[in-house]
Amino acid sequence: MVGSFLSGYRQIFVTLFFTLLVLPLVIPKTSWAAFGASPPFLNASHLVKGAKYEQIIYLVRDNAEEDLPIKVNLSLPDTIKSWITMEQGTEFIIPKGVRQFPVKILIQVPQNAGLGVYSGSMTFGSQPKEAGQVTISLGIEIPINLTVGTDIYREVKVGLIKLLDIEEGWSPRVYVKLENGGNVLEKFDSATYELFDAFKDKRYAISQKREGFPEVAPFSTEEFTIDFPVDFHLGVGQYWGSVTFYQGDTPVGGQTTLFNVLKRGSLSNPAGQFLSFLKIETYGLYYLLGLLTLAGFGFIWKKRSKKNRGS
Amino acid sequence: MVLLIVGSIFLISAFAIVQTVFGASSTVNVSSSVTVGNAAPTVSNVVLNGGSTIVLTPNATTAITVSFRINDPNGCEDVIVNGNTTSTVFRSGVGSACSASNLSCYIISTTTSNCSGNASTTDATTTFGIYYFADSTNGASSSYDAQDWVAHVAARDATGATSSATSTHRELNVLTAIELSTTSISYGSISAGSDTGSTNQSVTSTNAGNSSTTLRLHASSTLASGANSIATSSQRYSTSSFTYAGTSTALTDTVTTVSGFLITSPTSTASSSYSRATLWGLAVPGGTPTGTYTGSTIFTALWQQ
Repeated sequence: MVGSFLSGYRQIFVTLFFTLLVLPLVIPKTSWAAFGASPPFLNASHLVKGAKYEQIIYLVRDNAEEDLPIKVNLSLPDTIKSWITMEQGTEFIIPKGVRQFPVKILIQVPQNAGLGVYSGSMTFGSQPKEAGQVTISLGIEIPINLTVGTDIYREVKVGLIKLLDIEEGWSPRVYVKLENGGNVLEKFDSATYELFDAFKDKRYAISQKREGFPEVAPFSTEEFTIDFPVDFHLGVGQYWGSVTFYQGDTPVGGQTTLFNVLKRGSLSNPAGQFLSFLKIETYGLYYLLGLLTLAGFGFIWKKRSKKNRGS
Repeated sequence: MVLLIVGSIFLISAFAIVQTVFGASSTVNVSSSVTVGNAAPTVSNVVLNGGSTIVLTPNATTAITVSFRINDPNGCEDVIVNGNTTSTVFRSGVGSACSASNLSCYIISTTTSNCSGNASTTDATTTFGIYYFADSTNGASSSYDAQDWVAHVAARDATGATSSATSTHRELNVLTAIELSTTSISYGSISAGSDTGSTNQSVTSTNAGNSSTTLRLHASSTLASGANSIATSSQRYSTSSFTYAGTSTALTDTVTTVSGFLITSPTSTASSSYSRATLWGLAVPGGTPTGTYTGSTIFTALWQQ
């Protein structure tokens, strides 16, 4: 009697154990992870014939525990279907662990495009695992509005200016991020760089630059580093630098900050160090050549003197 | 004459040697004292989010960094250990002296830095958790299209001397996103030739972004069991409860906007204020073979200005 009771008790226990073990696998998730896009639109209002336009739309979600397959449905007028391409294609997977997935959309306006406003949309639909009778999936629709015109539109933003730490003997360096939201090429026209001591009390040098600035294509962003040669040897230590960039006479960005000059080899790779060495030692080389020339002249003069005395 | 000149040179040289030797050898004790005064700290190189546009994550906070450089001639510890820094990330329209708000103004007084020893300069970083409903500043959708987000860092040393600096302006993107209350709709068991009547299945959509959104619906695959299927239009929905079919709308295979459905942009995490339900019913036509029918419906968010 006791044995059968224990046997029944064991059966109940085993059944309960396996039920609890399997339960999480058979019960679907009770809520869908949030899903969307940022920005949720593509508005290109200043396109011209032949323009290339690029925009990144981030597909975003709060729960990134699993891969998420995405299918893109384009709803566009036939005229502009061939203008739009996506780097990722129309079917891709947002990998597990990724909460913000960038989708690069490229628009190439043909040279023979008609002037006008073109509208359509693209829908990113997620494809989750099947759950229940009607599986619900989330999507995001991106309205697209393109305007092709003839106007010149300028929109420049300096996203970032950083005065970089450098090595002893290098010229001051400035890292710049230039964002061109307009439909014409943009670049800086000039820049000034002022170099101060560590307390910003004494100005050591000023450098003006009027050329050598890279051009940034319409609707794109470029990041680059600009050297400002100064007539001052920068030894190891701290200095203040103040840089201002101009378009015409208008300042479009600037930064004043303390930067470090580090000992040689701290930042550069072996090749860079070698080049840096050559650059620094050039002065020494000139000095040596000068001495040798003087010695040569001295030797010739001495020889001629002897000859004259002999004759 | 020559003798006179040589003699003068000798005397001058002798005088110089005597001056040098005896002057150098005489010892004078000079006591020195100096008072090191306080120098105000400086803040520079303030960079918001690495100089990039801010992209938020739906229904969550997103970590955004502000990096900056602090210099204090009395040593960086004069600020980092004995003083303090206050970093503020804010929408430009509210100004750096703003009151804390999850919509437009985040203030943090803790920072991580590499300050050590007697170094006068340190690079520091403050990390902010920006909510998904923070005010957007780009695109015509935003009320703040003409504004941007900015970081402001103020440093104070042990004596109370202060300095501050701001970053370049950065956009905060519009985010349109929704979260659903369930992953599936289950109608249960329905006999052929009958419908769900007054029993509705509910799916709640919650705004998980910083913009208003509407809802668009379509069936990506109709209810099917092997070769058998139930027409897509047999599934119907409404924003209020209904007795099948009543005033409900038939589901379609093409994307359709749900009439009268709009969820405004949240201003807090109180999700119930920014949620709306759609209610669902189903009719199974007479003659439909028995079986388990499955399908799929897509809920699509669409940004609204």
